[in-house]
Amino acid sequence: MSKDMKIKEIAKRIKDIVGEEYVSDSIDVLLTYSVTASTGFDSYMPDLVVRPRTTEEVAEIVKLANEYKVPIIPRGGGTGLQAEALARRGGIIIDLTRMNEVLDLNEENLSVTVEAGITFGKLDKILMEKGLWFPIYPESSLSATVAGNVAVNGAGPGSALYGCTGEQVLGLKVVLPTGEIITTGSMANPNSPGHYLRYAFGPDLTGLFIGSLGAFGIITEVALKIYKRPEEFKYVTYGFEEAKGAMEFLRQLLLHNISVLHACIYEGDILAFFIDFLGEEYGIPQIEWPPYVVSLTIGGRKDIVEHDYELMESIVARIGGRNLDVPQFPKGEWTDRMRVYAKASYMHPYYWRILYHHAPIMRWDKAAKAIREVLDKHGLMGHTSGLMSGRSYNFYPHLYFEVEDEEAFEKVKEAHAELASKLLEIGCVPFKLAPYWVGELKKLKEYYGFLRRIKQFLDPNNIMNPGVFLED
Amino acid sequence: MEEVEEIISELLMCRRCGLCRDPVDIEHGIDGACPVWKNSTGFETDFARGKIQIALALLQGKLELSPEVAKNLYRCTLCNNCGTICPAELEVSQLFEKVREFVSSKILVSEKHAAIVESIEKYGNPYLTPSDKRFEWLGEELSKMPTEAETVYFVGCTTSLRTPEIGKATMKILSSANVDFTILKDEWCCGSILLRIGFREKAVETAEKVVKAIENTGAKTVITSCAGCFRALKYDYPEILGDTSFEVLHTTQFLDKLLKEGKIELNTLPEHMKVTYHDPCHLGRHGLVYEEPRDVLKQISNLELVEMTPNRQFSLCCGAGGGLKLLEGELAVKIGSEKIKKVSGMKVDALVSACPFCKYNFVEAINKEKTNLKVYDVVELVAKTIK
Repeated sequence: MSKDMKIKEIAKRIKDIVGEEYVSDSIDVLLTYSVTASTGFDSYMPDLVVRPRTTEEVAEIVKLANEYKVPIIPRGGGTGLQAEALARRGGIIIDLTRMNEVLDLNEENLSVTVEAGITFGKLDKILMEKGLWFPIYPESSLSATVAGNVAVNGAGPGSALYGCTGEQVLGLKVVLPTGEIITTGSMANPNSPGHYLRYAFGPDLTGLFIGSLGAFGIITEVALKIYKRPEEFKYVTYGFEEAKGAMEFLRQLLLHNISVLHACIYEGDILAFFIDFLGEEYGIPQIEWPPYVVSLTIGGRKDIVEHDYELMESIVARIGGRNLDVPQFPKGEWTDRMRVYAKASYMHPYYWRILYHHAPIMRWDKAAKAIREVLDKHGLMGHTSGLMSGRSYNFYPHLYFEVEDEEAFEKVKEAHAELASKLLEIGCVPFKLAPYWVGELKKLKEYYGFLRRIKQFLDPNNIMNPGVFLED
Repeated sequence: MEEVEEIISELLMCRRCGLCRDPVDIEHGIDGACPVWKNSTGFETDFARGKIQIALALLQGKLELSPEVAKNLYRCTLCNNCGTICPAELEVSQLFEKVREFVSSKILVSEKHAAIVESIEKYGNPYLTPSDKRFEWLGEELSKMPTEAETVYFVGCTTSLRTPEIGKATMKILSSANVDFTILKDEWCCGSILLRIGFREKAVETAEKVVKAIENTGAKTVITSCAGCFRALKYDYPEILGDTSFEVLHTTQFLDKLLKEGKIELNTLPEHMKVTYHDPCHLGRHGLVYEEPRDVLKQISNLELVEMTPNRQFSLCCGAGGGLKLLEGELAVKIGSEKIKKVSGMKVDALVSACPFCKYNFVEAINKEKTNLKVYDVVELVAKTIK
C-alpha cells in the first residue's frame, strides 16, 4: 500500500474513533502543525492531525498506529523550544488540547487530577476559586499544557521551593505505546479515594514518563499535589561582589529551609537585558548594580515569611552580600510570573536555540562561564538566564540568530552542540530527553543502552515519538 | 498595499509561543483570547499562531492560494485580543487585514464578499437594501434635518437597517439636549467592512464620499453609534485619506460630555436594573474608549453596573466582527452565545453594549439560547431616563 493510501485509510478509521471534524489531513492544517515554538529547528510536515477527547480515544488511535506502524507524536500547547513535538519522521500528531478539564479537585487528599491539555493558567484559575494552589508556574504557563510540562519536566517561578514539575506529580494516566492504559501511583488501586501517593506498588513508574517527551507513552491525565495559596510575600534583591557569594547564598537558603519561591542570579548582559526590556514596566529604579544580583521572592504563611526574612538578612550579612532595596525587581518577576518569560523572550526580534539544563547550585559560575565562552567563541548573542529549582540551578541560555539568516543558524547549531558537551563535562545534566543531547547520551554507554532497552520493550514498533532518540 | 516582503517580515516576528490560543491569568484579568478557537474544532488553523503560518506560506508562495485555504484567514473576528496579549507586540488584526488585502487582490474568497461590495457600491450599505429604506425609521423627521449643523450624527448602516431603536434613542437624547445636529440624508456606508475583508481600494472610494458629505455640512464634530464606524472615521480615515476637518466621537463619549457639562439630566429608572457592560472591540481595544460608556451608565440612578471578567482590553469579542458574521454566520452567533451564557450566569437583567453590530449578534444569540436576558445599547438606557 502506498503511503498516501495508508494515511487515507488510517484517517478514515480515526474518524470513526473521534468524529470526522477532529481529524485532518488537509494541507493547511498539517502546515500549522509542522512547527512549534521551537524557532531554532526546521519544520516537519506530519501526515495527519487528530484531536481526541478521551484517554480511550487516544488508546484506540495508538493501537491503529501500531497496526500501520506509523509514528505518533503527542502534542500539548506546541510551546516546546527543543523540537519535542515535531513530526521528524512524519506520522500522526495527537493534539491533546481538547482534553482540558479538571477531573478531580480532591480537597481530602490535597491533590488535583487534570486532563493532559489543561494549561497552567486555567488550572490556577480553578484552584484560586477555592484558595488552593499549584505552586509552579512554567515559563509558558498561559499556553503550555500540564501533561506537556510533565513530559518535559519543566520548572518556573515556584520551583525554588517546590522543585521541578515532576516533583509535584502524584500519579499519571498513560496510554502505553502498545495501546494499554495504565494509572500510576496510589490510583493504580481502583479503590483508592483519589491520588495521594506516588510511590505505590514498588518502583516509581510515574518517574519513567516524566521528562520522556512521550517516548514511553502518552500522558493523558496528571495528578498534582496542591497547597493553600500563600498569604504573604516578601520581595528582596541582594547584591554580591563575587559569584561565589551569590551561589553560597542560594545554598544557605536551602540549608535553612527558607520559604523562597523564586530566586534568580543575574549578571552582566542578562541583568542589563532584563532592566532594558522590563525595568520601566516593573518600576525598577536605576541604580549602580553590583556584579551579581539575586532577585528573590519568599512567600507562604505570614509568620514564616516574616521569620524567614529576618533569617535571610542575617545570612546575607554573614556571607558579605547586601540588600539593594529594590523590591520592584522580584515583585515584577513574581506578580507577572505567567508572562514575564514570554515578554523577555519575544520583545526582541531574534530567533533562538535554548539549552535547558540543571547545574549544581555551587557550579552556577562554571556553567555561566561555559555559556559565555561558547557565545564569545562563536560570536553569538545570548544570555545566562535561569532560576533556582530546588537543589539545582535551572539554566535556560538562549543562543540568538536573526530570522532567515541560514549562516547564523548553522553557527548557532554548532555552538549549541559544543555547549551541550561542555556542560556535561562540568557536571550539568539535561532534565529531559532532547535531540541534541542524544549524541552526548550515547557516550554514556550503559545508561543509554538501558534507556534503549526500555524503549524497545515498551514500544516494539518504535512508533512513539521516535524523533526523541534521533540525533540533532 | 504594503510591500509583500514587509508583511512577511512582520509575520516572521511571531515566534509561535501560542499565548494567542487560550491564555488565562486571572490576577491580570485575562481569561481567554481567541473566541474562534474556543468555538470551532480547535485546530491550530483556528487561532492566530496557525493563521500566521498559513499567511506566511501564502505570501512566500509555499502554499497554493485557494478560497478554501484563504478562509482560514477570514475565520477571525479581528478582535485583536491576541494582539493585546502578544509578547512580541504583533498588531495581529492589522497584519491580518494586510494579508486579506493581498488575498482579495488575487482571488474572490466568497461570493458573499462580491455581493456586499456590490451592495455598498449600489445602495451604500452592505445589507443588500435599497438606499431609500435606510431612514424609513425616521419618517417625517428626515426632511426636517438641516443641511448645515455643528454636529453630524453618523447613524451607520447597522443602526438604520438592523437596530433602529438605537438611532431613535440617540435622536431623542440629542434633541432634548438641544444639540445643533443633523444627519446625512444621503448617508453612505463608512467602509469599515470593506477594510476588514481586504477591499481597501473600495473602502477609499466610500470613505471619500462620506468625508465629502460630512464636510458639506460644515460640522466640526461627528458622532457615531457604531463602534465600527467610529474606528473607521477616527482611525482608518486619517490613515487612508489623510487628516480630516472634524473630530470623531462615539455616542458614549458625546453623552459623557453632555452629562459632565450638565447639558442633560437623567431621571431615575422606574425599576432597579442590574447590568453588565460589554466592551465592543472597535471601541475598546482599537479605540481605547473604556471609561466613558461606564461613566454614562453610572450616572443613571437605580442602575447597578457590575463588571464581567474579562473586561476592557481583555474583553472577549461578541463574535460578529471582522467579516465573520458575513462569512460564517453560525460561528459568529455561537461565539455570541458563549458570552450570553456567561452573562446569564451573572444574574444580571441586561447586557449593555455600545455598538449596534454587537447588539445585533447578541440578540440572535439570545434567541438561540432562549434566555430572558435583555440587550441594550448605552443610549437606549439613557433615553429611558431622559428628563
